[in-house]
Amino acid sequence: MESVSEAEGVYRRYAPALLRKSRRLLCNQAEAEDVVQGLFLDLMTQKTTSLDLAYLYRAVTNRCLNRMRDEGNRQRLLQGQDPALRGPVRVKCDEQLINLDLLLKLMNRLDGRCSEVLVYRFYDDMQLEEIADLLSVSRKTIGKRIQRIRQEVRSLLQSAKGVGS
Amino acid sequence: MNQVCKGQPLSWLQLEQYQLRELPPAHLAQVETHLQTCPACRACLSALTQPSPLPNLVLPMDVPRRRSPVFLPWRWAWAAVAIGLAAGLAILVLSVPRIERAARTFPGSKLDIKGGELALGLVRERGGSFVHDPSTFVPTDRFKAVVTCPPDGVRYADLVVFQNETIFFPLPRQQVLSCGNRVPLQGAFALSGSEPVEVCLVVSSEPVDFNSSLDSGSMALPKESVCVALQPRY
Repeated sequence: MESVSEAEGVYRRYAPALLRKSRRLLCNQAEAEDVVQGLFLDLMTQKTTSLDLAYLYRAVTNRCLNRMRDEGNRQRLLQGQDPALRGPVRVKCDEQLINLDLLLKLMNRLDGRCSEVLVYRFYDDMQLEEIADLLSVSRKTIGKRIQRIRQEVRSLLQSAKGVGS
Repeated sequence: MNQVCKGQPLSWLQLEQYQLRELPPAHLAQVETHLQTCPACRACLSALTQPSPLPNLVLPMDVPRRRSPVFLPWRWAWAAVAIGLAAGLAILVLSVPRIERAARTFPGSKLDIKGGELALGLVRERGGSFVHDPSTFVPTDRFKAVVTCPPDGVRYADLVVFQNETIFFPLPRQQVLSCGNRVPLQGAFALSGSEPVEVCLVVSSEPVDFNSSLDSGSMALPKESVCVALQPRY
């Protein structure tokens, strides 16, 4: 984005969608605004020219995941979360809703690529083909990552049941 | 609210692209057909069209500056972070040596005043991580100022940044300060450029008029001022 007016135009066009996505993931309005503002600040500083919503969606996903990797941030996110911001859930993992608490636990067990796929599948409700297109990998690769995610979800739930019994 | 979709739901990205009229043509017919038959996805699309306030875009500080502050109306989680830290942590003292420049001398970050101590601290956010009392900056950093002052009446606070020959106010001017321990000033700011900066807090019992000092091209800091020095990081 070469000029301020161009940056503001791109911001007005795409920021609402990016804010909605960040809110779903972080369950916090202020944190979501931070992430989106930080993204656009970087884009203006780097004078990035090729932008579309898919690119920005991916950028916001990784920013949110990076934010959640910090232990201090995690505590703050958990304490300040508004579950209502998760929004309508249309895709679950084996009938299990992936909420913020479960997501943070899964991130401890999954690598970055699987965490990213988790967000696209269970927060953005993307089909495997759509995720494969977004990440420029094969559908088979995405299928394997989803399988890994499901295994970890089952493992976590079994551990929780074991602790509770 | 959980919605049951008929068949495979449309993704949020597809719905957003549809609303922005940016869906690839190959997908448009499929999306429209699905929307006609799926109330869950229609409800999700409807949610995208609800008006919601959009915060102003923060501009990098190398955008042409104005005398009036670049106000960042972010509602940051930093206010909660700073308040939480103030309740639980000791004051972080940053001892900054006096920096001599040809035209101006800057005080340190702490000053003994009547009733107690005046201190300025900065909290820097970089890539999602927070650092207290940083010593460096890059253009993508964002800073929050926290003030410690004795709670003895109303005070007005201004944050002034000096960089080379430039003076600017990155936060709302003359904020009414409820003194205490590491009280955050309203707003957040970013820094840019390749020169060191001095971030200075001016506190007064009356509103201060800096305009005449700025017009003359120089500005002497009032007595109750504290400063933090930051170096650009390459």
